[in-house]
Amino acid sequence: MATATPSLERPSPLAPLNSLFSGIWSGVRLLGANRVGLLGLLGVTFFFILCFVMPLIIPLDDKVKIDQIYAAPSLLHPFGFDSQGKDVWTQIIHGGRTLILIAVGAAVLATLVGAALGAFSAVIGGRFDSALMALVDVWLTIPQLPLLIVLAAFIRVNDPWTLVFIMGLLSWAPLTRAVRSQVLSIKQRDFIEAARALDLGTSHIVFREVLPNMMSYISINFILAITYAMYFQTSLVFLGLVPLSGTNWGVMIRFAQTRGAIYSSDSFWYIMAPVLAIALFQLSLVALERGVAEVFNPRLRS
Amino acid sequence: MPVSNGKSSWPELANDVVLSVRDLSVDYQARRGLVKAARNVSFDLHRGESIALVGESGCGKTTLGLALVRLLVKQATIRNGQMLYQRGEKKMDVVELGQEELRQYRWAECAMVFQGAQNAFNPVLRIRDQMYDTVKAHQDSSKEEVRKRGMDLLRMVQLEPQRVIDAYPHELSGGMRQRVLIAMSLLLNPQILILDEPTTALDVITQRTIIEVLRRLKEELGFAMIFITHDLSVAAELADRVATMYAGRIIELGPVNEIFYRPAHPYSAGLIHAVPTVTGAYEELTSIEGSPPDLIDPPPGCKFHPRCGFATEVCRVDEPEGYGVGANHQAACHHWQTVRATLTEQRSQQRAERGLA
Amino acid sequence: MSSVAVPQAQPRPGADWRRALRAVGSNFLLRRILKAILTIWFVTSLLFFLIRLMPSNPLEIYIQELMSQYSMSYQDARSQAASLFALDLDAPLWQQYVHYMSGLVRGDLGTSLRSQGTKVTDIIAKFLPWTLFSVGTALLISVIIGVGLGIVMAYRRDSWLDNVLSVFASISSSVPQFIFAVLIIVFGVRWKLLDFAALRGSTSPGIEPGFTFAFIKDIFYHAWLPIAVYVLTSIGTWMLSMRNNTLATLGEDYVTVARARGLRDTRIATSYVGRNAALPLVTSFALALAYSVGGSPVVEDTFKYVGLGYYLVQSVFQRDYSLMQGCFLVLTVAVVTANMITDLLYGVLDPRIRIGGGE
Repeated sequence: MATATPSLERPSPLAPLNSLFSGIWSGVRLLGANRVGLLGLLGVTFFFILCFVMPLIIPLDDKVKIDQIYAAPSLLHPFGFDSQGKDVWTQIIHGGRTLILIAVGAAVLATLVGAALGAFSAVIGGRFDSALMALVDVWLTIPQLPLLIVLAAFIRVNDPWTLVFIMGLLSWAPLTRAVRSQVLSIKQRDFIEAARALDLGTSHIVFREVLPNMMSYISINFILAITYAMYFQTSLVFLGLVPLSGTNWGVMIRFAQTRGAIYSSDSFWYIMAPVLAIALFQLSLVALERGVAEVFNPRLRS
Repeated sequence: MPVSNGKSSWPELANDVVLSVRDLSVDYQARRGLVKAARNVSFDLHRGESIALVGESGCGKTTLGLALVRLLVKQATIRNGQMLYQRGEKKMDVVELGQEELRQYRWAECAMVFQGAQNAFNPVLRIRDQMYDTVKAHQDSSKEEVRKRGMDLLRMVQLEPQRVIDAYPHELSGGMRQRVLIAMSLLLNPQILILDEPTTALDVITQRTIIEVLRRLKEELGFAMIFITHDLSVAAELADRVATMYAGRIIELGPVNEIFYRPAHPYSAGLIHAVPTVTGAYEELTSIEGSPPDLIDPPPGCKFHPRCGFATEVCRVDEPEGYGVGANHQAACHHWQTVRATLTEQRSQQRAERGLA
Repeated sequence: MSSVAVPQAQPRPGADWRRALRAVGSNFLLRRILKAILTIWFVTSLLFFLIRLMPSNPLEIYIQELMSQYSMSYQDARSQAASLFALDLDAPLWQQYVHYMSGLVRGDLGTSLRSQGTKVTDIIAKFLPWTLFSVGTALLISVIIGVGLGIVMAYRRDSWLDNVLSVFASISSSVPQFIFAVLIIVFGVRWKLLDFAALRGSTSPGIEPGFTFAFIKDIFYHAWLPIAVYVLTSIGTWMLSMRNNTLATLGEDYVTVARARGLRDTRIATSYVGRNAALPLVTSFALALAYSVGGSPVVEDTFKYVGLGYYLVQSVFQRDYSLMQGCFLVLTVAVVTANMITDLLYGVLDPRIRIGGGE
């Protein structure tokens, strides 16, 4: 009999990574079957190609051409030219990367901080937990954009990293609460009890049992955090409170407004291009988020 | 077989029949196909009588109950059949009722007490307001009158009227809510009361109270009752007649004593053996092997034959109609005589063994 | 119940105030008020330390500015800055903090740095009403229309109307406010619909304030573009949550039972479905207000609608820190107060939350 006992193999160190990849792959396949999620995925892919691949192929047009000022759109120049006769389409291509990187960076930071605090709060419990949850309550009622505006007055936001840091630290609260309640409910469930009874160790429980069960919450909140960060930073740029130089969708709209192009009907396409870019980017993320939520939580599927 | 549903063709009904269900069939549209949840169900309900609908879950009991007040989900359709209701001069085919007539029929003529009354009440309205809503939907009545009537009924279901009538639903326990719902169902003096699993999910003592309450109310108020249950001991206590359902059909219908002591359908017999009775504590408990049939693609012939020990070739081909097996007792089994004979033999054998021991 | 066990207090000295604390903690009303006070205290403290302790804090910047502009001595500049910020810079930090807080409690927010001698509270009193008026009106409109549309979407679920409205609601809830503001301007210009020069400000010059038709018409004329943006950016959330709540409520047992009771459809739709589906929305009210108030700097700045948000942006540009602090505090207090009121309202509307006792 003894020879036939199946041995409990120790998982290889790469196993979590493998399961992560297969998890992502099956998630993508499920999303494909979800109409809204598929649209969101296509939108996000489109923006990835637009902002990270296309700039390698199409150079930025920064030559001032007096004869092309506000020239109308054409096949080669789908959004026409700006007030200095530069092609708008190449500005759109080159003007998203920084924004997206900053937004993703802030979302990563917010997710890390939020998930860690939430998990700790649930595990430690007691006074730490009550105090942190009170702080979350307080934090969520502070109007975030005015707070950012005030912070921008005190802290010179000269480089993207500062912006990532501020926005990341601003958005920790929603995820903290979500992760905490998830960890609390997962702690109750049978399979954790079983894992404990089998004496599988805390790290196994956290990384193999608890974390996979929270991937849905974390990924949904991560996507939402990107949209918040995008909302905050473009609003700040639009107000002129973040002296971001270079080409970027927010700066384009800001320039259009300060130079009065916004009130001139010649510049219609010049303004519409970044407006559409920001709006569609946000919309793709929200669609993706809804799709992910429905894939993870079948009860939402109607 | 399809009955013409013209209102003009009102058939002769005995005077004491309050509801005559004829050839009623209900389908659900599912992704895989049509679920035939009720198939050509026919029975008469007499004044003041109580019928227990018994059977395994998924046999169509609840569908039948919901069909009687036309509260089926959107995906369900009444394929054919009639539900003839009469009260004095009032005569109607419930299947044919329009939306407004149906609304008036519900609760005033036929009230339904649902399974699991936990969420049966609007959480933001007090009991008295929900009672007032109910009465107001059917007749003109002052708040005072409704309150007085409500309190009388609450007293009849053994609740403290003063406390309960002004309470919000969440302030009442599960058993209390169930009794409040029973009280509310009698507000408009309906002629028929349908109860879907009235005692499930309650503790034993509360179950007892509710059975007592129902028995008394029925005697005092004289309504007819159809109650759906999988608990045969409840059926034994409350029912005048028992209808056994299997795969959407009533496969045996007869007086309660007949069904319990001289069942003619092997499925009924199996169900009864699955219940321990106080008197028959020594009797062997046999549960029915196998699982209920697929209602989308049911087996040919008698739907019970794959699980039946008595099945022969004829059962695989021909679905039996009801045979008269006794006074007011029908069973849809080709071999009912064999079934009965075998059961009687088994029983006398058991008795003999016990005598020896 | 949450799984965090509250340790039972042992009867020992000092248990009295613990019991009192717990009594406060379990009282719904007191707890909400405490939370509001805590939030305001937290925000004011945050501001105090930002102004006072940041390495390049505004005080130092202002002192440097005074010294270079008016060639003042450091001491003079420092004392002038101190009086403007209403701070006694020589006192220990905790005294400054106490002084600052007691000033706030008495409603003293200092004087504006740029328009000298003007009290910050006066500026706020003058411009806060416009922000509250535009945001409040917009909130009212978007709740009424949004909830109505959400109900329609739920009852006509999966119809083309539901799909079209869902797409609109997604756009509304995800696209930033300034994008809508810019779009309104761009299309207003393109189709020559709007006279933006005349729309600026919160009233037309020379109009007599009062309860007259002309005045009310005028304030709506100036406020309607901000209101439109607030409505467009908040209505989607109402639509989607009302749709989902209604769908969930329609599946509740008590709705089926109400139909079995023969209640009229209108009665079921209002008191049974509508009321229960709308109840959770009360808590969204504060969030929606926070979002709109939070967007007011952007919206007011774009349309040059002179409210508190506009002044917040202006004060940041002009480095008018006392005004900025005042604007931000008042916006926060407005949101916190609204939050508290809706919490209390929820307690009144939902009998399951008992106002007096514990959870």
